[in-house]
Amino acid sequence: MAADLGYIAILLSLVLAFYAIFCFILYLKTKNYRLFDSAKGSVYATAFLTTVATLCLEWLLYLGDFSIKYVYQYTSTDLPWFYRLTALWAGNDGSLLLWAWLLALYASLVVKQNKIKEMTPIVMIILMINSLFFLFIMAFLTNPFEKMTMFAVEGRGLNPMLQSPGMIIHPVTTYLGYVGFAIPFAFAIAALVINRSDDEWIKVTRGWTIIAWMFLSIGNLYGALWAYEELGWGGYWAWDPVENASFMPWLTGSAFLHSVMVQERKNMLKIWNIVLIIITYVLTLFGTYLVRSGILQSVHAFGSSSLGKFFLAFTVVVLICSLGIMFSRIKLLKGDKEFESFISKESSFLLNNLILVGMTFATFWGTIFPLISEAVTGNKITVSIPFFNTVNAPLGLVMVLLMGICPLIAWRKSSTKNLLANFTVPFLASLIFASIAYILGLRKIYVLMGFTLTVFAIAATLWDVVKGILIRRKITGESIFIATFRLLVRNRRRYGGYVIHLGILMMILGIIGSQGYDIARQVTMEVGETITIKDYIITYEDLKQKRSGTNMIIFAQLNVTNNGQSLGEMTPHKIFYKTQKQPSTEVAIYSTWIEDLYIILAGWEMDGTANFKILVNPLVKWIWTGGYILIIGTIFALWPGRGSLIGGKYTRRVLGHLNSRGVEQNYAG
Amino acid sequence: MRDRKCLQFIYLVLAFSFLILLPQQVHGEITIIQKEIEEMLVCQDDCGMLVSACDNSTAQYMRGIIVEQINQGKTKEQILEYFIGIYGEKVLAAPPPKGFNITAWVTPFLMVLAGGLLIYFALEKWVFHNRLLQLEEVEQDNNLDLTEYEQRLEDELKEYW
Repeated sequence: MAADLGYIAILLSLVLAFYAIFCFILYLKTKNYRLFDSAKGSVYATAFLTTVATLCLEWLLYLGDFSIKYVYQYTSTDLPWFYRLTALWAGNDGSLLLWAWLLALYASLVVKQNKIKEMTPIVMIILMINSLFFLFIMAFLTNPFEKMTMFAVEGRGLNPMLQSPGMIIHPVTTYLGYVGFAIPFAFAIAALVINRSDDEWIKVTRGWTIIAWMFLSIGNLYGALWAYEELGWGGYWAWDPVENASFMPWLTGSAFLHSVMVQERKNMLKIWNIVLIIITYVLTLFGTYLVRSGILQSVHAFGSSSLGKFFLAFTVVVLICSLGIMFSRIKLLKGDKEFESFISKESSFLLNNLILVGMTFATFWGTIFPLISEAVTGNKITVSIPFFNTVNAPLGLVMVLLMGICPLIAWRKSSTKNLLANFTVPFLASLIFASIAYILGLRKIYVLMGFTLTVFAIAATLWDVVKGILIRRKITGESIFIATFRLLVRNRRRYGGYVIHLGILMMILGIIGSQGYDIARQVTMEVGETITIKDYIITYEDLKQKRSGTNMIIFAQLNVTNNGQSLGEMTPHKIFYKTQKQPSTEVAIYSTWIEDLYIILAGWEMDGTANFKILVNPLVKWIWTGGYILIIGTIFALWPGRGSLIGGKYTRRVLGHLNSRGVEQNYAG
Repeated sequence: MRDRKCLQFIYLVLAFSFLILLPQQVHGEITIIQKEIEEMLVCQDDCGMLVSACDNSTAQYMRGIIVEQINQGKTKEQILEYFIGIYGEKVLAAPPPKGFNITAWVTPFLMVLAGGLLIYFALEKWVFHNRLLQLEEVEQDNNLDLTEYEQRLEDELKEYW
């Protein structure tokens, strides 16, 4: 019953999406508002019906109805209820339904807001074409409600690696990010179609873009956290093709968020911004293609399926059509040609874009290079962590440097006085840091350089805030707390961006530390044996087993002390599932701000001898904390109110006012 | 005589230090080389993970071979060649920079360089354009000033002559 209802809902959504497109086109020709209303109703109905389909699948998953193929493939009777619900995105069909549902919800929100009336019909046509594609795939190629041809009393169960809190958040937020970028993309194309070259579409979609970017950031962060805690290999980012697929739109999305500021203030880079948002959205589709095509080896992929060619075809069509529309309007997009100086904030944004897009290209190139190499030379090769680290690390260091320079450099033109005032303190701070670090024994040149540049960027950002507070205090006479509060709150867009930068810099410190000074050791221990790794003394006390539901857990009891202080018991374990061949590895982590002690139970013998992999990963906690700071900064910047609106237009007005009064424009902002 | 004794003592101290340090250095070296090699090889059971990160039986087997060959005194290059001989180049975690594979390493940097040059020339053009506009504005101001003075001169001539 629920399965039939769900499938009918998908079919009806498909028909209604088609109808909505048809009505919006007719509305554009006739300007009959009743057609617009009818199309709008269809969009709402599509959102409602995809919600019904999603709820039906969730209900079937919750019930454990193994007569449905998807339920059989991804759940089992012993699976906790919340993991049954999250199985919605464990497989290909369910995740497509999730995508279609989110897209339909977003589309209904956009049509309800109807912010730029002349653009809305075209935006909706673009969004509904995307919906149509996903609904078509589900209706005719990979039906999530497909029934089993034979009776099954038990399902295959959910992949143990997906039974983790990280897996509840990571896929949903990644999809929210992917789908979210469809909105600015649709507005950008709509602006071109109706020959609008102003920045209104950027203003209207700013919130959508930042929210999509934030969700993609959370998706990547939780993906890394999941890899660290669940995959049990000691790392958090393996440059897997699917990881790269969600990292690339994040990079281009970041570039877009910066370059639109130049268009807002200088009426420049219009073509570039359109190109960036097209690439960002196309990369989200490309990621979806990678996951489903099976062309590249990945631990995250849904496996090889015939769906890949449909996604590739759709991605190529979207890319060609978008670029075609852009080139047909190229004259319209020619903006002003005024840069007053090589050294200005707008120039530094150009460099920032170059590096971000360069990193995107390097990642894309490395991801597809095995295919290119095989096609050219006939040899199969692998492109993995060493390649991506080697190519992206120098670009990343330049990026960190720019993160220190960009916020402090003035718009239009920076004088020597301005540069000295802004950079002396951060430069000295980073120099002092580098000297102390070197004296204390930090001799790895790459690590030292990375830390020093990051400290420079942090110092530069904080110094700008301190200067702002001091100036505000001087003018208003407020106390330091009130001055700080008002400065930050009244320009949330700017200082929210600073908080995001600080979060990212904190993550970079964590990444450099954990890559540069990690210690790994593989040991075989007998019960009662003690080993020392760094300052940790680890005693293997016992190997035990216990039952949890239908699962069997084998765990080792390890007593750990650090510099004589007891850290308690750590219990790395393996879980054996009734429905899965492979056990899952559950690592034991003792995390501090300095380092993580990370213990994996790799294997054991009948006599109790156990094999452990023990790692000491420095500064990993900084990565997760930096990620949370990034999220806080994004919410702070987006929080509604006056402070979030201060942007290009506002500043232009203020500058114009100052100009009229003959005030020198000699500040960063 | 005294110098000779002194030299003998230094030799003894150096030899003793060498004996003490030797096992530690070799031990440390083995760990570093093993780690480096494991990070340069991909486990060959289609899991897609590096040998250093993977714990399945294939990775453990490969790790065993690495340790064995290190103990035999083979160099990093020799050990890598051994694995390439068995599994082909796909066993390496990154393509060796030779032949067509050089393009893998060079292309990203060439693209960034090309992008950098593009930005440089665009900036030069825009900054030049801006300066040109400023010059034109100055010229216009000068012209305006002259017109004003000419007008005033004409008026005064009319008035007084």
